[in-house]
Amino acid sequence: MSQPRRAFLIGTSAAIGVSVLGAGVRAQSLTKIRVGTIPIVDSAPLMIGIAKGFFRDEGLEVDTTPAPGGAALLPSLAAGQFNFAFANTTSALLAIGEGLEFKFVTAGCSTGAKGPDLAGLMARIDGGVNSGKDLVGKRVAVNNRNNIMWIRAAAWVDRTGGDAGRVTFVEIPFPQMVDALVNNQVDAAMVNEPFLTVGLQNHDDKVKVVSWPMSDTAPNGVVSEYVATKDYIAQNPQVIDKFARAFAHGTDWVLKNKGTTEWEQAVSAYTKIAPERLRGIALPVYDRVIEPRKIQDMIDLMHKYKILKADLKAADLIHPTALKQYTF
Amino acid sequence: MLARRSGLILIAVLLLSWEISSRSGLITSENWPPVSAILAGLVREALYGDLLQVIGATLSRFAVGYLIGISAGAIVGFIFALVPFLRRMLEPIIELVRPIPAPALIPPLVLFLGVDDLMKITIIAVTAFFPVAINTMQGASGVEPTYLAVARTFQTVPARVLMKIIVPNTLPYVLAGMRISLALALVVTVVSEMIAGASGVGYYLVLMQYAVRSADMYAAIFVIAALGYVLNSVFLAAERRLIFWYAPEP
Repeated sequence: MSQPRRAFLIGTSAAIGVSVLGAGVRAQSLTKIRVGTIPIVDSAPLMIGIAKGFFRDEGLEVDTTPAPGGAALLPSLAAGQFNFAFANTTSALLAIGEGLEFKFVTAGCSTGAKGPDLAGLMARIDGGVNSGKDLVGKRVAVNNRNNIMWIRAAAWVDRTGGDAGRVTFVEIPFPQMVDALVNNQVDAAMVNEPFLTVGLQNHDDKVKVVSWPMSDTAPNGVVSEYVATKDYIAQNPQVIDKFARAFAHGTDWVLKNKGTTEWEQAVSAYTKIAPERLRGIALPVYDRVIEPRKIQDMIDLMHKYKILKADLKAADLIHPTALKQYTF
Repeated sequence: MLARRSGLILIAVLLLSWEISSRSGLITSENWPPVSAILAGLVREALYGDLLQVIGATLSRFAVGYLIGISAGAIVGFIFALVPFLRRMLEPIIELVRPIPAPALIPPLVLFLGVDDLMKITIIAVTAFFPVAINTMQGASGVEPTYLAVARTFQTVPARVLMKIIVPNTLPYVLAGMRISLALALVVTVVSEMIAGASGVGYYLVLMQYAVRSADMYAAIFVIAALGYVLNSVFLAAERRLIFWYAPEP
């Protein structure tokens, strides 16, 4: 910028009122961060926190990149395209086990003590599937292999007399699962909300929920967290703290308001799910902090299913912000 | 004319049987909404929703990537035809890369170029590049030798040879390549938007699917189909004017 032009700009901005100048300075001091997320009910604390201005209050300007499938998030985080990413615990640990240097920076959600929770194992009413034993040699739909849904479904099969190694897990996206089940392409499916409720409404004479493998095999078990790379955390400790604080503020709002009309509007705004579809669906438990023991449980479970070889310690993977109780 | 009308009738019959199969309960699925609901969603989202913005984002991304791809394709194709050494050196690479489906290149491109427009436009440009480059190369190197011999006899200046013989003989090939690229690039634009990012028809498709709004998802699909049809028609009309002397059988 040329000198006279700069002088002119400074002059004009000085002439503009104090309030405008104040706003300008404030906007400049905002730190820009990019968060990779999935537009689902689980990411409510983040998305509503952004909409309510909680991140701005902490000096953060958040640019979210929603990836509806979620598959591109962790590789993009590793490549430095995002500063933070939402991830299910299993996929995050799998990535860490493969050598990606991630740490958990905030909690995400858990499942409840018992079902109904955020995903149910559905089967045909006349299909004769009532336990894991009935699924040996059968086909079960999961949205992705080696993620949280898959490992909980596998654990349920083993726990109820079956053998997960003798079940064929087929990858089918959530929106198509009930169709595949009704049309006999699979014998059971790990379906999440809102597709579970919609599927039951459309086909109450054909399909049923057999189990809630998430809470049946791991009551109050972990589901998801937010992760960042070790490098980014080391270089930006204050940004991490601000992010965690703003996120906790979002969680706080969600815990106080979930189920209300305002909540439905806020979730509908970013998921585009019609508000009435959100009424009555089972919600995840939104956590304020991570409980390291639960992460360790998942590590142990992943060892058992041989998708994790590295000897990980939960305590080493959790950044202090994920353990801190922020108050508002 | 009759053939055209029967084509439209067939489309109408197919849409009608879709409507009936959905309304009658013959096919009950959240993913099979009646056509009337899709059209209603189309109008509603275009008027009050953000469908127009969504389409605009896709079209602008497509236009930039496509123009870069076909320009580069035409230039490279021409150079290869004129400089056989370069052609021999680079042809194996081109022939190896060409059959790779563009969506398969997306993961490595995300690593290097991110998830934003840079990655998307690059993949669109790469897709549009190959058909044009290869067609141009074949067209430019396949110019009738007699014409060139005649030009030599008359000692025509090289610039004139280029403009009067090589370019007119190559243009039909270039345009054919551009038309193949058009459809491919449109598909890849939508696919790239499905991976990540918050705009465009591809993103909208996935978002609507996960929001249990399949009627709105199909509305976007109808829009893509219409876009493809219109772009192709515009292209054909332009092609007829540009190379009026090169009339393929009607």
